[in-house]
Amino acid sequence: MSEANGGNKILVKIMATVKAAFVFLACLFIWACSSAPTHTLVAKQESAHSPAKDQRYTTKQPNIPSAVYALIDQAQQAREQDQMGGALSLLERAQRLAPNFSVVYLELGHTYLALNNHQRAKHMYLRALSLAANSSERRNAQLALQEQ
Amino acid sequence: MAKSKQTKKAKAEPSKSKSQATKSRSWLWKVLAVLFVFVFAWLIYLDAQVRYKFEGKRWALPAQVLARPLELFEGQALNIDNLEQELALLNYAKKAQLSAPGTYKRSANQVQIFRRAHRTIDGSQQALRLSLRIEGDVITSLSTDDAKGQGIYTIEPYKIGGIYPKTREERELIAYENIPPGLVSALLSTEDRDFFTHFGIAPLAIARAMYSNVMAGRVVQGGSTLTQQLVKNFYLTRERSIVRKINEAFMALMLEWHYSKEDILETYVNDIYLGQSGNTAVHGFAMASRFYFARNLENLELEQHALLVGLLKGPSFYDPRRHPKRATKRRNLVLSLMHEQNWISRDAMLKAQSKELGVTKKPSFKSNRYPAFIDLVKRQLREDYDTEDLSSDGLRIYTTLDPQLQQNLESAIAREIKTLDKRKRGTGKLETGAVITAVGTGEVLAIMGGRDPRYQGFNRALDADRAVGSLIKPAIYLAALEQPEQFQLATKITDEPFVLEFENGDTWTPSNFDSETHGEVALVEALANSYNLAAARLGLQLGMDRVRESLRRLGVNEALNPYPSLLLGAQAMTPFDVAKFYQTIASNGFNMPLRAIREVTDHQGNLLSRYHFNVEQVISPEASYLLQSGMQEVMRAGTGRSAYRTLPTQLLTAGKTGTTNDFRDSWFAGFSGDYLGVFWLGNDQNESIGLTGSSGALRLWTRFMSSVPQYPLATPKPSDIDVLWFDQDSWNQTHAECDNAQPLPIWGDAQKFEWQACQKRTGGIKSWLRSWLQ
Repeated sequence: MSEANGGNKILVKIMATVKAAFVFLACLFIWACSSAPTHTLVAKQESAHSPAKDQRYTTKQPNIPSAVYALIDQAQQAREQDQMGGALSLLERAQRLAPNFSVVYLELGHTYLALNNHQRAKHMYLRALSLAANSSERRNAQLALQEQ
Repeated sequence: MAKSKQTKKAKAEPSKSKSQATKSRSWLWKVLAVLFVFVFAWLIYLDAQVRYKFEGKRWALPAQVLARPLELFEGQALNIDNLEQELALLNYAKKAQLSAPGTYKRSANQVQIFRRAHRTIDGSQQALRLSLRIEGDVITSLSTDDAKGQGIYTIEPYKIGGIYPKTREERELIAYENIPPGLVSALLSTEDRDFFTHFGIAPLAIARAMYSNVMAGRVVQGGSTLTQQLVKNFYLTRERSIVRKINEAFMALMLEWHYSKEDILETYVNDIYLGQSGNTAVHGFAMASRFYFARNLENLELEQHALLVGLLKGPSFYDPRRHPKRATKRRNLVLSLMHEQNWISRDAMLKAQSKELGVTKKPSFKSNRYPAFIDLVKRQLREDYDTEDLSSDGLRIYTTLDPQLQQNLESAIAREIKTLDKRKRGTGKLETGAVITAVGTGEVLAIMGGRDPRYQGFNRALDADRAVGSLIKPAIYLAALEQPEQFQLATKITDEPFVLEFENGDTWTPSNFDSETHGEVALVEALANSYNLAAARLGLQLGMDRVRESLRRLGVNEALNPYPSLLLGAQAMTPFDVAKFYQTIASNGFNMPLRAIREVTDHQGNLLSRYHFNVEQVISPEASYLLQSGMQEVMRAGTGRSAYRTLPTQLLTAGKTGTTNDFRDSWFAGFSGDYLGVFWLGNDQNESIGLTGSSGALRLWTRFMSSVPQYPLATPKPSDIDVLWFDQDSWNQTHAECDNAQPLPIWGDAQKFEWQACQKRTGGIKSWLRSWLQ
């Protein structure tokens, strides 16, 4: 009886270990899925592997800092007050902070359009289109190109 | 008769002497008249000189060249050590408490900065306290005592150099109303206590000085007024002579007659020599304040004003950095004089005398710390400004130089080139040229004109015109990929030897680097491994005109080699030219000028020119996406793969190696999502160095890239691009689940690829993950 009890205890222990291992692996899997490897800022690390071959073509833009939106707001106000030089300066500052943010180029395009520089506006819109990270950014850039 | 004769004679004598006297008097009058005319003319001349210089442009003010101001905001990529380096460069003192502007405090991943007031192109920025938390090379929180802030703050830009007149004078102007009263009282009590009452010269002071000098038996005291001192420095030579002394007195009188005391004092304060920075003279109290204390003159304390005034007697003899004891003694004397003349109380004097000198360890600026970059700035400015204006109008030139990246570049090259010195072939000294730009904006962020970053001579980044080797190949592959119905990355091309015969009987027989041939290869494979035969064949198939046209669109403006050897890079370009070429590829097919300057203002901050971001689409997003993907393959599996022994795998990059005949030049050009780096390695004698693009320049690039926080390459996939899977050996299309499968972007669906069944399926999570990722 005591032997059987002892055997049961061992079985229970093994089962607990298996469960724990399963939970651990599940956590590991969830963690691996959630930490997509491409969007973090990277530097000053050492590694011995080249990029995973399927890591490419799945990339997305880094988060846009709120300061960029603040600068775009200021630029829009400047444009409304006919201060085009100030608007361009603010937008170029925003561009330096988030050079891949499509909206900045859309705004630059609007400003050049207000300055009657259609050629420059067109290329800014084309840049906005090429950097559009979602369908709404793409649609806005396409609309701007059609309307200008 | 005789008597009468005698009498006549006697009578004649006085008349003769009278006429002689008249004659001599008239001569005297004549001489006096001439002298008077001469003196009068001389005085008119002196007066004209006094007025001409005082009313014209008084000084040749060098242009100040400023680095980009460091921007701080939540979400910004910033390495905490690099931040500290920049603060050190700007002479911020690390303290336990933030006591005054220009101090900072660091604890683990938090940094508090008491920012100095400064001016940027966006206007005046007030002094304020900033508190940052930096985690994983990103600012995760930023708070400040500024309630109205927009969440984005700048630290004042570092002055990276100047464009100097031949006299090499460094000067900053201050208006009379901004001169601190403490400085005026220190100046008057030490140099000229009667300044506001005398008329240019002070006879009483001269008498007092003469008495003291006679009593001492040597020159112990001067009697010159501030006006005389100004005249001496402003108009005259340093020669000691009576004539000069007389001129000085007259000119001082004239200066006082024409101009107000305020005008004279302002000019004195801006003109006087107060120190030496290398081969550049520091003039004026405003510049001296920056030079010794790294602070604005208006923000100095009493004892600091006293020290600057003390230096007037001998800036070198009393140099507070080299002779702190002498300088302290002299400063304390100035403070005593101020007290004696009731400018300050005894307590204030004693308190100020007990203070430390407070000078920064090193001068807050060095003239031309970054000569290669200043050279680029000068060249870009010359298109809009005269050389004369640049070195005399006190322009403020806001540039794009990033001192942190420049520092990283200098360290990377210094560290790596020592290793390469041991591996290179030949006796020539290994030299380099490098350009770093921002992928998104085309701003030039850092530059190296040679292995010694301080060398002011030959700027290899801009002037070393060297054959580029395989760096040219992306232009060939671009020309192919722009015809998607014919060429895709998976399209098979031939890597077999051939002989091209010219009409004159000459032949061209290209070969691969390893002298081997590879038969039928995928286009991406040929690009990744830099196969010469495949590239040359492809180029000839496309036609030289098409390749040249593709180079032109990519921004290569140089005269192009008319022969097919162009296809293998027999085309000289400078690292800067290569940067223009690769910038277009890195920015996804948009041509943008490489800019080193953002804006230029006059010395009062009025805008003169603004150099705007400009862009022109020259390649379709689809062709550009394919080319970038091919160049990513160079890094993943081709000639650039050794970079990932050091770089983190997450940092997706694209690039190309270049090696020229006999290993004379080693090139690498590559980019991430943020930075493009072009590196050349070779020697000035154009001899073999025995290094390839991979074993030489790529190492410099890798070292630099691994030291900088940045985002990976993440070009949005155009909607016309699909991702298909191919077998890595046969480059036939296959299942994503196959072991040897690798994805490739394909433009449109015009081309059908040969299908290959799976060698081995890998089911389960891996396969699911793969299809999910796809």
